[in-house]
Amino acid sequence: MKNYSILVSLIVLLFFVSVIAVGTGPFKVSPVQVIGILLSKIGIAFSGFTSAQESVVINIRIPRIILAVLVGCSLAVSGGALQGLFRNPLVDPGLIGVSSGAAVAVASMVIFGKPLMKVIPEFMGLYILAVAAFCGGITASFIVLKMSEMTGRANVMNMILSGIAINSIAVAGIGLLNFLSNDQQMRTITFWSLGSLGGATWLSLMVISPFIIGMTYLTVRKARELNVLALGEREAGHLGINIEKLKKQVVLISAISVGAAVSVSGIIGFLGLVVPHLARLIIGPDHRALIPISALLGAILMIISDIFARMIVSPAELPIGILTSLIGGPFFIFLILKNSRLFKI
Amino acid sequence: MIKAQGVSYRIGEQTILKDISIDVNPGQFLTVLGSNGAGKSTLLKVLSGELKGQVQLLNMNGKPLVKFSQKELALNRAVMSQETLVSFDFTVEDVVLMGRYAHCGLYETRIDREIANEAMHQADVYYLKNRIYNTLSGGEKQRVQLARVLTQIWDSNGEPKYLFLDEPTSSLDLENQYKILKVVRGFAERGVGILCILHDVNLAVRFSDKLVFLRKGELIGYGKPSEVICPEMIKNTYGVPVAVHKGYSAEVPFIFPLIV
Repeated sequence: MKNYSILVSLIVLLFFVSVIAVGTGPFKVSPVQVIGILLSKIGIAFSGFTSAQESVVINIRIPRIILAVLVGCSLAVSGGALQGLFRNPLVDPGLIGVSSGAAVAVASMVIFGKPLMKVIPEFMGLYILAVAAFCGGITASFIVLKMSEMTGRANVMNMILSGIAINSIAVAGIGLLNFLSNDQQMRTITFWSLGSLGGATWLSLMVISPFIIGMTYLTVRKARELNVLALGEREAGHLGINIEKLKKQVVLISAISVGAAVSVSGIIGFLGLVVPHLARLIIGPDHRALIPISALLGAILMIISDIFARMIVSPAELPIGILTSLIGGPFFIFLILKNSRLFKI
Repeated sequence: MIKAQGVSYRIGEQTILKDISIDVNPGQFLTVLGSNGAGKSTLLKVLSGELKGQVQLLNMNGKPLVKFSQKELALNRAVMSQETLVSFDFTVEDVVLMGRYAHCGLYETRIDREIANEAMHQADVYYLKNRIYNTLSGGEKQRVQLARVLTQIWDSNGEPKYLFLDEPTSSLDLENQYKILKVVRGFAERGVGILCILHDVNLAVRFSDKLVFLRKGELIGYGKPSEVICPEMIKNTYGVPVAVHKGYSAEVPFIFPLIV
């Protein structure tokens, strides 16, 4: 019952921050007008807004908010699931290589992709970086998984070490690619890796939302297994869980979800690490509640970060990855100092 | 019945278990005794399916152990390890309910909760129900883990069930050692086959139907306590001279170490 009321309050909160976010920006739209525009879209006549306002809200702001929701949800849910899987509260979705793999693929595409641009249809050119990021992210995670299996069984420590190794190779690769790039290309790569919600279009949302929603659903289905895993791999095995299978499933589910998210938003730091902690603080460690609550909290924090990203240097916008890390870092330190018990495993 | 014949286990050149044959019968309390490193835990791991040893025959309820899926195994036997750490702040009730994993879907049913409550009463941890597991003392944790494994094999599905315990009393005080083994004994009387590792010979004698003595991976004694307990057996097993006294009865002798 308590869980239920928290869930409902978060949904209400999500709605409110969304309305505020849609109204925020250099082009003024009041919350009442936002609701008016939404109502008129579902056939309830409402006046008091201009067609320019309607166009900005429908074509720019709302896709952006939906992207924020999807990305926040994806990172937070994957973070929560992977922390559960690795039984380690310091795990971030980046650990399985998905973000750095995506970054390498994007950097390669920016520098070497020119010939490709000529042969593919123009509208696809807009999405070529997203496709590259998605493929790069999934590939890197797959390599991490395979590497950790080479010793016989995919034990957690092997997986963490493989993740660290792949990440550091990827960082070297990005460095090398940066070295090879010209100024313009380097700027593109850097901005991608700082994250932005500016790339949201209805088409890109339609492509990534089935991935993220589907993978979030699958993660919730694994929640009880993740709970039992808290007893350790041996005990979980005695209780009937096929550990090897579970590891593969959770890593792949997270890689697909985060891969889809970063393909449109670029790298968003810290959210996947911090949000599950926040959720655990509110609702406890039960993944059946933790995963949905993380999804909502991730979405809300992402929207709030985006509001700030657009307000601080308006009419320009700050890369949102900078903000999430800037807010997330000190917040994490606060959590550590305030509640050191939280980090005991 | 769990029937094990010719169980051996090697790591490289080193032989941990050598040609062991024992039966774990439903309704019987079988205790494995031996000094540190004698292969007790390894034997338990092979019989529970966690380790794959070289075996001539290893059947549970007439079917080879390797033919069971992980979930089928979990429905028929529960294993309590020496020490279980729990990551994150799960409550005692959460931990005990995890024992029901193989029996339910994403959420536990009312029946699962009733079983967990009953098991917590039996292991005397019901009053700790809402405490965070990680804040408990070693002995309390051990009793919670016992409640967890009890919930796993609580209900009957027609097949005999088995309970494997690796030093379940290692952190318990005198009162709780007897209390807990009494509970386990009660499960044996309900038809559960018990395979237990203990260090306290007198405790083992008091509660077990049969004893297994291991030395350096070899079986050196196997039988009823009154038949196998003698100064030579204890000397061979632990290297300690003892006097055997009449304990509670002729069936339950009592050993007294003669170390000055």
